[in-house]
Amino acid sequence: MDVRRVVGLAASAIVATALPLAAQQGGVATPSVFRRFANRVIRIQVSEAGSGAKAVVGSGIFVDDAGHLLTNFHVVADVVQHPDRYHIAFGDGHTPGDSATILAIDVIHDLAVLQAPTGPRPHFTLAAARVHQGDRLYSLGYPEDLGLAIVEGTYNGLLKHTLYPKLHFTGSLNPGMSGGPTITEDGRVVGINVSTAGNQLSFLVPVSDAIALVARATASGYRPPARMLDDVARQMMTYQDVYLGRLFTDSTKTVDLGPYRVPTEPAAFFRCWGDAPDEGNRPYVRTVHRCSTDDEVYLASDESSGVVELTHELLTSTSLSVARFYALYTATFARDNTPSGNEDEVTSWRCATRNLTNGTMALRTVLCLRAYRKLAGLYDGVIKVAALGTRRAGLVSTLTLSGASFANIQRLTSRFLREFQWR
Amino acid sequence: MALIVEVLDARSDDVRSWHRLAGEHLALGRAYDNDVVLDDPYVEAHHARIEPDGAGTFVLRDLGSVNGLVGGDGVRRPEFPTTAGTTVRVGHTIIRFQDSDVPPAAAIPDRRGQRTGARLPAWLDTPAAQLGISAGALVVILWLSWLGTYQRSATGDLTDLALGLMFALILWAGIWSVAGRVVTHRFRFLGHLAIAFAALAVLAIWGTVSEWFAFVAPDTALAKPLGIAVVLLLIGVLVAGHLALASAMTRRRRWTAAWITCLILLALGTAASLAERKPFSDVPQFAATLKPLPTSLLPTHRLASFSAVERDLQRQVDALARKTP
Repeated sequence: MDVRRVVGLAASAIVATALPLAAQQGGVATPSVFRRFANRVIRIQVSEAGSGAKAVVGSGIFVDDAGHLLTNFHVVADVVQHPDRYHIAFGDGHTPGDSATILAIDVIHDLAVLQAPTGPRPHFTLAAARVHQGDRLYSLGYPEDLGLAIVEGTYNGLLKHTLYPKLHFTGSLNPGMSGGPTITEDGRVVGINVSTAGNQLSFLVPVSDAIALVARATASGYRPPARMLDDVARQMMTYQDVYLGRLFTDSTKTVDLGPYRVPTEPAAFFRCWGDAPDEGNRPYVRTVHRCSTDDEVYLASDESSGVVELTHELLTSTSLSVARFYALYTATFARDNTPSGNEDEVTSWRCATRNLTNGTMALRTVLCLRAYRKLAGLYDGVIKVAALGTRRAGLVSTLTLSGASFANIQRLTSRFLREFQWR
Repeated sequence: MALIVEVLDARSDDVRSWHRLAGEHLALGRAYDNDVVLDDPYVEAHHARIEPDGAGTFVLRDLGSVNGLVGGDGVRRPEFPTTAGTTVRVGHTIIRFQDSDVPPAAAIPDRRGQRTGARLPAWLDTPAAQLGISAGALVVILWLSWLGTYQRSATGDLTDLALGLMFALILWAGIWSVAGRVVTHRFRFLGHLAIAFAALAVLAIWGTVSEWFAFVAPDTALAKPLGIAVVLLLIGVLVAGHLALASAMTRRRRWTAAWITCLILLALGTAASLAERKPFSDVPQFAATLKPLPTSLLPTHRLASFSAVERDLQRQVDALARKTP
């Protein structure tokens, strides 16, 4: 699923999202919801310090009178990455407004609490909200920095294929609405706008995660870390330990592909797809089995992490000669399906290749590794495996782990390789 | 000792004709009754005359011509001494005096005769053999290329490859044979073509051999230098082979020229790869070649041995991360 953060970028990345399919049932309540709560939705702007040019526009809400402004982490990610290059201002959408600083972040749930000058302000009081599938919700924010807008939609429960809960909101979120609230008719916050997959398929951070972060940020004795990136690294490290610790535990599921029995569904929250796409007049058959999750951690505008993906490709042919089949097998194995990366965030890949045996099968094994430059101790690892010893059948498997500790990459590599067997 | 008059070519300074002073006089002019007839419209019918000066030597004397006699220094004089090496312009014609006693340079040894027999075995020096080698090499190249394809029909691609190769190598062999025609006066197109095709076929076979090597022993430090050495060796042999057909060089000089070519290519290649080296890439490089070798014949390592490989990778990327991008 192609998920886009609903953050407004001034320069580029204008995400074209479909318009709502008519204003379903034209809610009678919508004008009154807008009238009552519009003044509580804040426009947040991240500007480049030197030129003052706006880099990112997002939305947010005050949660108390003590100047605590809640928004998404990805709205202010530039400030976390380059604190000396960007600054944050907030206002009602008409004036540039006052400036704010980052108080606390939650990278995993994509939330941030900013500190603004204290004083009485219209705000939302966060509390657990009980809603049911199909309930009508209203999302507010500044789409494409066009001014405050209200979007109607329905609540559709939690996403099933994530480790950490995320709400499924059927309504059109657009870039710029990130950090804005999605509320009930009577103004209870259900979630914070975070991302969209287009066609009214939108996602919210549950209000419970926002309550937890606000509680942490406002606890007595809390001090913001001197370097926010260290906090990002700490949170990622804890997250990947919990997340990857759940993969390939005691009873690993397997799937039979051709003559092979291979590991699949690393954990219950993974979603696996299988297909043998018809590739026209080809003298071979390619069967694909792929497992992934909807979990992803936004670190910077071109860097996401925390992605785990497992792919198996089975190749079979009856008409190709053995030598030509191995040309196909080599080309499939050589194809690059590693995550892209940015020089500021990650190093180049370094790979090692060995012909290994796991006791039952000979496996051509490649491990490619790269390190995160700013987040010490975290790596991206890609393990590619090709099963050896067959003449006109082949298996290319890839396990991609991004934002993982070296110990976890080692543990999962060895665990993954042990699971390959003949049927 | 006798006085020789050389008539020079105005453009190249090559000697066009020689004339020996047999008696006491030598007459120069455009008229046919002269001893030295100069076919030059700027020369008088009877222009000048070599005659004794009374002191035992000879002088060249102007017979009252319109354009006169002009020395190498550009100055016109009525009379010039005939010492060896002196040049005089008569009209637009240059003449030079020589002494018949000056010894000529030794003859240049001619190695043309040795070439054909010694450099190629007789059976190889026939058009049939050379065409056969070219055709055989082309078949090997096309066959290896076909083994690398996996579409239902690769005919189109292979036809393109065959035509492209033939065009390029015919051009290549053509250049060498024209050069050979100039230097050795022999046009040996089919020989050059056979050399080029054979070198390319060996390169293609080496490509397959190195794939097997990379499969059986991946990430061997030796693989890259070995590959470069083989390619350079092949280029050296190619250059030496072409020179054998297209030049009069000795074997020693041919191979010297070949190795110098290799060194230049190595230096250029190194410079190019250094200049192109990207400090960052998000596309991994790894030994992906797979070959249908029975696993009983393939040396494999146990899973446990992989952790040392992993730790080595970690050290490498940690070192990269410490460098500023």
